Amino acid sequence: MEILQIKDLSFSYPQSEKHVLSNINLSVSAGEFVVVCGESGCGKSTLLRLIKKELSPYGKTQGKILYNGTEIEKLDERESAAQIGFILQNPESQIVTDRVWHELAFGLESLGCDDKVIRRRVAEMASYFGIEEWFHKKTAELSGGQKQLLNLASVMAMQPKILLLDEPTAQLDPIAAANFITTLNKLNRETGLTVVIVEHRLEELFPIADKVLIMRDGRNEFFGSPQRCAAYFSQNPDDPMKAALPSAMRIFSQLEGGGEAPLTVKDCREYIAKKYSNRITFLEEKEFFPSNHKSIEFKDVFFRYGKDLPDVLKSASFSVYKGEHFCILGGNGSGKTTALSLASRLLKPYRGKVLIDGKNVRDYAKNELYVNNITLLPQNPQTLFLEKTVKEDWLETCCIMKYSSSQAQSKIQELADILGIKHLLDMHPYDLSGGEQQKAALGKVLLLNPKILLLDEPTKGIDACSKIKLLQILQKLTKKEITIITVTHDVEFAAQSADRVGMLFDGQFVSVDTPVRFFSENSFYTTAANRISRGIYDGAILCEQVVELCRLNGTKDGDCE
Amino acid sequence: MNGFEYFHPTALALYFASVLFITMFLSNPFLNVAALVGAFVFYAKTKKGICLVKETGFSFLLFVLIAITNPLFSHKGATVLFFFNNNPITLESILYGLNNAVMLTAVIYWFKCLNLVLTSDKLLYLLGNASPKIALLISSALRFIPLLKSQGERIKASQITMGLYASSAWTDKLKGTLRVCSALITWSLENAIDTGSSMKARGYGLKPRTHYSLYRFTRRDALMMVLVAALDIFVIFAFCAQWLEFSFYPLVSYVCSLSALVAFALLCLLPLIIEIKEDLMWKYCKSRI
Amino acid sequence: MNRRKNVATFVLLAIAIPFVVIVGALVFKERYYAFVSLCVAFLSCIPLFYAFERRESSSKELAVLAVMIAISVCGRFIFSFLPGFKPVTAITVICAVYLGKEAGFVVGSLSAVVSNFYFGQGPWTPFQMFAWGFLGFIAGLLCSPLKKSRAALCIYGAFAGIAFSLLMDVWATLWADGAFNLQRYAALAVSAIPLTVEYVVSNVIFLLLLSNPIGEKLERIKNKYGLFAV
Repeated sequence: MEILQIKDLSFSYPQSEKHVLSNINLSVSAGEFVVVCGESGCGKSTLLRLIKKELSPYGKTQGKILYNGTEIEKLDERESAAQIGFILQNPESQIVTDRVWHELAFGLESLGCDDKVIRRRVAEMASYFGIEEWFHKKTAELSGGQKQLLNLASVMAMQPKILLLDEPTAQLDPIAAANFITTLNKLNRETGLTVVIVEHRLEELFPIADKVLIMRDGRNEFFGSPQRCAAYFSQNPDDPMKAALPSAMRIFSQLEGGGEAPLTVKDCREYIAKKYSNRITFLEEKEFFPSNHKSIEFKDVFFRYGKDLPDVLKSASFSVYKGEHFCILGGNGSGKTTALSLASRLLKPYRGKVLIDGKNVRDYAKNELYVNNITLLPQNPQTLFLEKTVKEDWLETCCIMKYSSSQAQSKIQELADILGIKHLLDMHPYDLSGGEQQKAALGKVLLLNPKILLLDEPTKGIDACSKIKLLQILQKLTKKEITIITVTHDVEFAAQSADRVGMLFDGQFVSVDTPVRFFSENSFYTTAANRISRGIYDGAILCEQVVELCRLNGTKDGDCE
Repeated sequence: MNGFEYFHPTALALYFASVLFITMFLSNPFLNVAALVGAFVFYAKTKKGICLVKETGFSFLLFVLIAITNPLFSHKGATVLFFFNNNPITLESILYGLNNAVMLTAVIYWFKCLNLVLTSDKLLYLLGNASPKIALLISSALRFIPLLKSQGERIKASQITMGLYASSAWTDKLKGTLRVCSALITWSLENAIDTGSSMKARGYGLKPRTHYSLYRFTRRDALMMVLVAALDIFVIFAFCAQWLEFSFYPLVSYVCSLSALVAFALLCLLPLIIEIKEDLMWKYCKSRI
Repeated sequence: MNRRKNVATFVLLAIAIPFVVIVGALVFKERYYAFVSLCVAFLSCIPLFYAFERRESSSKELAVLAVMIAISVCGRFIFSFLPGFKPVTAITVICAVYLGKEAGFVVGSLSAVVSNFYFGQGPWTPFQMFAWGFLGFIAGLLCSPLKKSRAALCIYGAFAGIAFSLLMDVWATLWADGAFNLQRYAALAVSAIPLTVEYVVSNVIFLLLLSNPIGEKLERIKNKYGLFAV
């Protein structure tokens, strides 16, 4: 039975000729798990919001959206609120009340349920989602993952038939994200809940999805099973969404070997092992020659947040050389962000030294450290914006740099060119998408003309295409001899971009090496491509490397390609 | 603290309302002393240590200040003790000031106890019955405050690394803080829109809306409410029947009904009695395990 | 229906306030003023709260109000390096000017309640609710001159500072003496002059510095999402 049908749906915002959505046709059966993906700005969020009439953006809509055969607009208010659940991206801002238990009850209060019903449903949700332990807590005390789980639970308390999620894991770290997706999968399998999820992170979603919808410029490019999706990408190799696919599918679609597409690491391992020989097991590694100038050096740094709190960093030592891109990996609370704050003097170590260009950070005068020297792009780029437009914001930084107005204009144009955001300069920073905000913030930081750039989780909440663009920008910067230190959870990003990778654990650097050596020695904490090729090839950590090795070796039954 | 705060918010509200009402408005020195003692012992039991010593010191200062200033402003009374700046200082006005100080200190301590026992969630529950919208508004504001605080700190850190705090001058600091404030407002208003959407998505605005709480009204609560009400009625009756007359001017004269005083003292000591009873019961249970 | 209910509340209050005054006079003799002032402060807030409760407001409007309350409370923490500089009045006035008198009242009075969750509730809570609430309400009534002229805004800021201080002195006098002793009131008002000056200065500074940036933001959000349309 079809729970959701969309017929010839088009949408445009008021005072705009451009169709955000045009001629979308879609039908979702009850119990299906549908993943919607597409570049940012392709209209996927708009589509999702149009299904939930309470959140419909204001504008001109043509076509029909049917929920259980009834048009959305004619649907009873109560029914629409209860049966169509909606979860937004930011875990923080969706929480309405100050206590966990009250948040769980919020929707049921709106529906006017009586005390007994609410009591039972709240209890049920708390036990199903494992919320008992923090049931009485204040919502502000929860971690990001817990917050998003709470949002899910409080929507599920209303017993929706269909759940719409708008990038629910974008703001979470990989472990919390995986946890969230597992819970979604469990809900889908155990209760037959229909799920429609818009997401950038597809690695874990593809294996559990029944259908995939790929959108481009407001049209549906593809709608079908994930396996068939691989065929679509083989036919459309230029589709920018390709970068977002799970590694298994990316390798498969590049090899063009035919057959059933593998979705998981396991399937892809089998596929390669069966089909390709492995006479050549490794590729020539590019050696890394650091310059001999140390940009940043940590010497036995100790740090803790309070007298009675445990050490976050204990005897942490590392050096980063000029023009190098150094990635710091590590779990939650391992001290990654703390290390960046120490390097930028936001925090001060209680023992040990942090040296920038051989000089202790303490000895730099107030602004000497931040102007023309070292700069930090924070995890949340929104914290940088102060003005009404990106340009005004950038001009403010130009004032700090004491540029003349013509100098400032040319600087801004040059940077906007490099970052590819010329068309966004006159927009309000908060009207930009996550990836665009990131670039605008990066631009602002780069106006300080830094020699050292610190990036805190730069890939958080941005889509695959923005990630690739970011990668290219960073490469351009390192060519200009700018030293970059990135703190990230994103293993794939580190593997692709870093010159060296360091792992923080328990306040210390446990291993520092080039990405190839670092990742091929790990067996879990490594890229999917590496897990796929482990034991078949050595030192392949990127999809491209695996594909190249496969091509070099050729298939088992035939000769080289 | 394990006994008193677990009563139903309604029972607690009735309790505090009665104690505060009688202390504030029946203005009888004997009752005031009882109220002060009751509030202080309960507060001292729940809040031990240096913190208590400090607070007591501060309230003592306030006490003295209120007590000694009255004779300077009020020269009523018959018993003149001495002259100060050509104004008579009378025994009665000193006593009057003392009484006021006792009353105010008692009220302050009862409010301290109230803040400990009737926490924001309980007050919101009470308010929610009368005005659900305002209760929700307050709850949501309470939820935003820690969020804004942490975001404010993050914005400040970003501003520092952007080189916006060039000097440590006072004006610079103010400018910087205003910048943080302004950025924080943009951010939080955008967040508010999301919160609004999330409320809407979960059916906010449908009628009728119910009000859920974790609290359950039990027999224990009913018993306590009956007891408190009975004591209240008795004390107020005694007051109206002029069993508790007290007048300072021109000469101190009073009538004091012992039974009313005992009733009020019992009311004031109720939380402490409940606490001690719970403690003993707990110890007894434990010894049997 | 709605109108009739509103009228009913006003009638109720018209009866309730004199009733309170008379009962107070009859029963509470010495504590008379304290009792009456507390009740008047509290009761005069009720019709406005009632009107707010009855009014349909969208979830977004509610969230915006919650944020503004949170900001005015946080201001006390953010500007803690300048003791006594509290932006509560300024933010209340700005909300009133841009979002309407009712919003101004709600933000002002609830800021008092919410901030007292951190600093302790007390018998002063109703007075603060009354003072900040009505300073907001009046600013809302005067919104067009206040929006147009910065001088008017400054004057109002100064007025608000003095009014707040004098009102709090009334409270202190009533509570310390039990009756309204003019001498003590004068003494208190004089000894509170430095504090009053600080209120006035901080209100004017905050209004001058914050009214444009916050106003712009409120306007943006109002227009973008069609909130607080009158």
